[in-house]
Amino acid sequence: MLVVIIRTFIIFLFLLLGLRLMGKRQIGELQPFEFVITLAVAELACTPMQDISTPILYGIIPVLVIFCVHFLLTALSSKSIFFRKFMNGKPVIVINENGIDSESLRKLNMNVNDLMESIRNAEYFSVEQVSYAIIETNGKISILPNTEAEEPKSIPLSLIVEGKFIGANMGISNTSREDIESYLRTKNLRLKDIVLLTTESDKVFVQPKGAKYFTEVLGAQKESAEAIGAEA
Amino acid sequence: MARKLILVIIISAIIIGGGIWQEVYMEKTFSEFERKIDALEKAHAEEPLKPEQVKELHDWWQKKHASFENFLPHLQLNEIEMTFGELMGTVVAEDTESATGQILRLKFTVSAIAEMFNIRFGNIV
Repeated sequence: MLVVIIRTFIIFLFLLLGLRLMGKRQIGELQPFEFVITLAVAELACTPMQDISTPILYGIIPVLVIFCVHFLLTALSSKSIFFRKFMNGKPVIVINENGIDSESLRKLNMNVNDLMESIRNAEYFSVEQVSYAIIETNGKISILPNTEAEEPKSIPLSLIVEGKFIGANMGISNTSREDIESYLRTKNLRLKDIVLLTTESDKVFVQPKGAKYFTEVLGAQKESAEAIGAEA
Repeated sequence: MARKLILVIIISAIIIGGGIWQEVYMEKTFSEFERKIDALEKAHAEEPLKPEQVKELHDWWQKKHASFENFLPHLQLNEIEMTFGELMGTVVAEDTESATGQILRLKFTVSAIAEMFNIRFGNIV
């Protein structure tokens, strides 16, 4: 038992040295390759701590090598923009003046639900409230708010996401598929062309694929300014 | 940054230097070990081994074993210890045929361990 305690203490000291070399980033700020390093180091350090038939160097050497390689890669990244892009990727705009950029989402292996979750985490409940949204290289979202957009009075319900009806929300919004399909026909849109359709009170938000989003107040049959762009 | 860079360079130099030293030390020691086993095998072919001859080789190995424990898995090293034990048993019992078998086992175990941990393509992949 004493052997395990001493070995754990030694490995802990080397981990501490390695983490000091890595810097003081928090989990949420880690770049993808740094996250992988953190996971690998945890695994590498564990085995020699508990298995006394393995030389302690089998834990220390890989940990130190990984931290040294990480240091060199970070140093190279700070010198070369090309290398930085290669290692960390680059920020991607997922919401622009036209609304959701589904092509960028696809490249990021994200879906509309992931995006909506991210913007809700940033305390925005509607795509309209966002002028630009950027997925940073560490996976976090940065948002430039649309100060002209109205704040939603309630949480917008997604009725169509990526060309598919969200059945669970239909009942809550008292809307039928037929209603929505006939509404889409009036706009010359097909179901599969819809990236996102949400309702909130009597207001509908429609994000067609490859076109600018539009909003509409259904009760008054009044189209918003953005609708002009969409129908064009 | 400069201090960290110096630290990284020192750590890298220690690791790479240590790796090279280990490789050379292992190669040298295991070659010597194999030569000593060959000599033991030859001596056994001429006349049956005496326990002192086995003990002499075991004592030599014991000194090396302590340093190898720092960088080789203990289970593999204990394999050599067990073979020594079996060899000593056959020599004490004056079982000449079994002793021949145990000498060969020791020889192949040492050769296999040396090959298992030296730097070669098969070990890297």
